[in-house]
Amino acid sequence: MIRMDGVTKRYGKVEALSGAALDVPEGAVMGLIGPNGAGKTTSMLIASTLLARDAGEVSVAGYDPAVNPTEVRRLLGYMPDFFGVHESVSCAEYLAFFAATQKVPAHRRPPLVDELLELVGLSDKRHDDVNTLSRGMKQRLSLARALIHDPALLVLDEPASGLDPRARVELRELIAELTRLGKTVLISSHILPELEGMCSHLAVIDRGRVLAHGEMDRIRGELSGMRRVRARVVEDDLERLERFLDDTEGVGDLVVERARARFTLEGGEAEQAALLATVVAADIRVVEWVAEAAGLEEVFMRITGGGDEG
Amino acid sequence: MTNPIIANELRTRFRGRFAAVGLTVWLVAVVGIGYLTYLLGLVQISQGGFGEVGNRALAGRAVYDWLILLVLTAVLVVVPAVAGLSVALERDRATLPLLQVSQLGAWGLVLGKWASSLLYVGVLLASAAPILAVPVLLGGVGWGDLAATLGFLLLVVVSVGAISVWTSARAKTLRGAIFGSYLWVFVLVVVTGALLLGEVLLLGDGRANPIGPDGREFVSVWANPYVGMLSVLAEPVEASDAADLRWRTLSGAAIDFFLQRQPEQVRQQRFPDTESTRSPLWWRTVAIYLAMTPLALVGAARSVRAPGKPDRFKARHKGATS
Repeated sequence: MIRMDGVTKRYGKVEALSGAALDVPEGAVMGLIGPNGAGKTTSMLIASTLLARDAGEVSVAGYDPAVNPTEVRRLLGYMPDFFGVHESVSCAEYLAFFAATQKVPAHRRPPLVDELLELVGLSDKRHDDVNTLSRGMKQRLSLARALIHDPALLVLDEPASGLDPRARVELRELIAELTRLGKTVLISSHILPELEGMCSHLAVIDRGRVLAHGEMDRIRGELSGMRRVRARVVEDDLERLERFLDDTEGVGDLVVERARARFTLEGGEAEQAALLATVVAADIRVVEWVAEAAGLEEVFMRITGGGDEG
Repeated sequence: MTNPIIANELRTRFRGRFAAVGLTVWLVAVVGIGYLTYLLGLVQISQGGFGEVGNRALAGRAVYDWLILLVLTAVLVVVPAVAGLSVALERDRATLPLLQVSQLGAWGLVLGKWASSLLYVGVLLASAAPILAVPVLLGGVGWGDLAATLGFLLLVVVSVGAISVWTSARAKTLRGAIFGSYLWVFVLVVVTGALLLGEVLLLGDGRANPIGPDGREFVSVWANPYVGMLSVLAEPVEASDAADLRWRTLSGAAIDFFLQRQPEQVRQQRFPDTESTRSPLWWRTVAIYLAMTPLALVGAARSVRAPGKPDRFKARHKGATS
């Protein structure tokens, strides 16, 4: 649905994107993760016809956003990272206005507004002034606005930013509903757990470059060479465990506190089982041994090299 | 299909907390000014020396001149404020990208903003219309005069509105938009006035540039809305019954100055057997404003077009990928 190749964008001397490449398949929910200033918003603005690139190729459903912006806008619903509102407008009027700007026929607008308010759970707020809504409600209304012309593609820039946990759960449910409706979603965040469990695909962007992108499971699989292990042992054996792990190859980021050791282990399940067997064989009394595959945060840290230069 | 921005803007403008207060203040000001000028007219009637009908007509014209110039001043104060905020306010509250990605397009956005600003000012002007009609009832002002002056006023609203929308579309901040819009009004009113001073000094020597049978016209003030309006007041297309009276009012005297024209009797004596062929000065003003309006709107549309300038982009893009 969205394809970017070698996209470059400069703001004066700052290179916001340097040869970024991205492929968002139809029907996917792609999470675009990266720290502030990584180039997420710039990528989204370019795909959304709001910003011209300096070089490279971009296509949205086969159209170049810089050359055929009108065609792209018909297919695209854009939700910026900031919710701007007009003065003295009710939720229903807000949506009806944007329905008119998207050339939705007048007779279709009232039922459409009702449907969308229902979808985002704001039916009881239809006559309320938009300015009186909470941040979470504004985000949901903004999502309804992006859906007003039934676009096939949604570009959501930091939609969960500033939301409380409950509002985040509601947003996650909404996005799950959108995928059931067959929408393709590109969603960005710099808070990685926000995207956990929401995305089928993932793109990691840092310093203007897309470092990895593809199916979430594939990326995780590529990184399955690392597991995070949490072990609890009898307190008397803790010092011996620490010395043992220090001397073991493939163990890193070791933290020992209150009878617990946390560390990363290179390798898969076999290496993990072998290490556990060696620890037990060394007469270290293990009470608890928990290993997890890499989470989004870890995937991100590994791909970006922990945020260090080089 | 109606531009949705127009309906939305008008609804929110008249629904705002200060809408009723603003409209009331405007109407009180217009009525107050109308009454003051009426008192001035009464003084004129008592001192006119043209008989009762002549004096009433002269009073009508005097009141009319002042009222129109005051309404023009109000327009030059209100239009930059209303139209100057139009696009800049959208940018300031981060709603501009939402309109840019809609199917309105750059022209839909600009024309919607422009038209809604004009309609708002139009409502204000329409509310003042009955007061402007009072001098017509006094005499000395024909319906043709009224139509011409209101037409010119409308052109000023349209043109200054377009310039303000353009300034608003280019401005990065609200303050910049308002400052830029008023700067253009300053250029049209004050800078042209300052240039006039230079022109007076330059052409002061009548021997170097003698005054002909049609007088000599100052060019620097062609774009000045006040001079244009004075010309409309003094040189209407359709002469009214009180045509001779108009030269005895403010507008007549002012246009005599700007055209450096002798009164007709003097002109006939100096240039016998000639007829004045000069077109009214306001024709030039109208031509300038008619040219400025589309230019400003094109500039505004280019400023809000996303993503940037496609032609330049395409050329650069081709070079970068080939």
